[in-house]
Amino acid sequence: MSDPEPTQREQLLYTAAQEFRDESTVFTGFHWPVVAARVARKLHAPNLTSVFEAGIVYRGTSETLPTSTTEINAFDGNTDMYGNSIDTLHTFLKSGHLDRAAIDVSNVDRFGNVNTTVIGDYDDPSVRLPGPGGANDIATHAEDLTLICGSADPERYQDRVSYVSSPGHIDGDGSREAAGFEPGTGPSKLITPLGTFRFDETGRTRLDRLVPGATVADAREMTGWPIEDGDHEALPAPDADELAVVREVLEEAADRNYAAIRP
Amino acid sequence: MAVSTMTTAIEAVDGGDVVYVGGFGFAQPFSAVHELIRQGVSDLHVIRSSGGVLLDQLVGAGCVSETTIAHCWNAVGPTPTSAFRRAAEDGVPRPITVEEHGLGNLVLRLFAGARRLPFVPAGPVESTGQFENQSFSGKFSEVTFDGDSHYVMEPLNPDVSIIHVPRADERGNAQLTGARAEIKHGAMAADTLLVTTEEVVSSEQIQDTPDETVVPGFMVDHVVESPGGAHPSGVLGCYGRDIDYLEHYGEVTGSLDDFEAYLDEWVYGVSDRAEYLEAVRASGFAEVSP
Repeated sequence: MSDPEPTQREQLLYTAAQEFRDESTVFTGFHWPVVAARVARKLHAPNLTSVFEAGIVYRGTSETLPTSTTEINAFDGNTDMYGNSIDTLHTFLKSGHLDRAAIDVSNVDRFGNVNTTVIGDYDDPSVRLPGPGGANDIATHAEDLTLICGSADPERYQDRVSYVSSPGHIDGDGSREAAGFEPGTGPSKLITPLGTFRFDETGRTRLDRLVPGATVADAREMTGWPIEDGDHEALPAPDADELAVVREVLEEAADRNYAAIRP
Repeated sequence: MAVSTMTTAIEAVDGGDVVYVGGFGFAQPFSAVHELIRQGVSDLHVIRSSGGVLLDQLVGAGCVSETTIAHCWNAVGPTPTSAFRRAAEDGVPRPITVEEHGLGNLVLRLFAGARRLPFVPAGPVESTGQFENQSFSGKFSEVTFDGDSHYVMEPLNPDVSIIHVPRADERGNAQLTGARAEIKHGAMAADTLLVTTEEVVSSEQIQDTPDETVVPGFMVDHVVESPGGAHPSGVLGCYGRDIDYLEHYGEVTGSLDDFEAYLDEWVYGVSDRAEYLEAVRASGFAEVSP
């Protein structure tokens, strides 16, 4: 008998999958968004369209889960269009025709700024991280952006990142708009293993819903962010059939060498 | 223009050159890059959209002093590219400077380079790390247009660009199937353009599908037939990404000694692509059949 309760990761993917609605078009960033979109495709969104940065418009459910958004062979046969990165990162993102965007964040602050570049000094880093790729452009231009953080490690949640690889609401209180970003762009939601946050009118995270069993104190401990006490509706948990689908997708991800999932 | 050997084509790259290397997660010119490493070309400024394992190898082999990228990691996993990190963090085997852009801005700089434009507008960049940490003077310049303030960027014009495609003819007409990323812009921005191809095909075959041509032959300086030349990345219509090889690469290149052993085995230890592919086969990785 498999465990009827979802693990933290299974719940995260189930929650994130709700961001991908059927018949919608979502600029889908690398890693967890691709996996969550596949859960959505198999649960409720068979006609989801994903835009990938290299110039790809992917609709439906390919036979194989791609290892990354550039593994074309994995989804060839389910593509509406092969274009280029100017089509995707400039034309599509700014066209107003996308319903949403979703990116993976491994190091995020309470304004939704993401650091994927360096720990320490830029020119003499203690850790050189990969850099933002197209996530920078998505965070710059997307109008309804969901951030997905797959880790509950408190070190992943900062008060303010030291380097903004992909811009959130900068320092809040209108500083994003003052820096020249279009009003209405930037992160609107953050999904974490313990619950979801929305960005309020000041550009700061506000706890929205908790995963079943989690408390405000847990969320406070994970993020280090000031979170007021209060009642928060619990996020829906997957039922047995839905959980089986989440697990099936996680097995696919393990087979396709997703390092976070492999033992 | 006649079809060149890889050795001759890569001799077009001089130490100190600015080199764009094409391919995103796919169609990466690995065979050309291995020849660059074998020829010991140094002090390159490498432009890549997604640096990846390919840039990791060039940096780890000591060929690079400067790089302009949007990111660099092993897309399978994903796992860090350790040689890139050693160079950026510890200056080993030699220091590199990294100019980071959001991918969209980097692509626009290549687009402008290809059109020989004087500058190109950047998206909003103030308050981002790329703007605040300008190791490179003049990365973003402020201009006023119609009363509003904007930032513009310098175009990128490589001395040499190298791209890999599934098909090209003897005249250099190069065709790509599938997503194009920024490959065409990076190719057309260069003074000298090298095309490596899975197969040299007839001009009649090119003219059957002219909409797949990304660069016309008159812009190409060398075309090199290199079957399997993009392994371990994939080429749509030819072979897929070798995810086991890429995972293996991450596992065996974590330390400097291990990375050097990797280069000895897979780059210095083979004389050309055919020998490399034989080693891939002998080690039990995916069969690469162009």
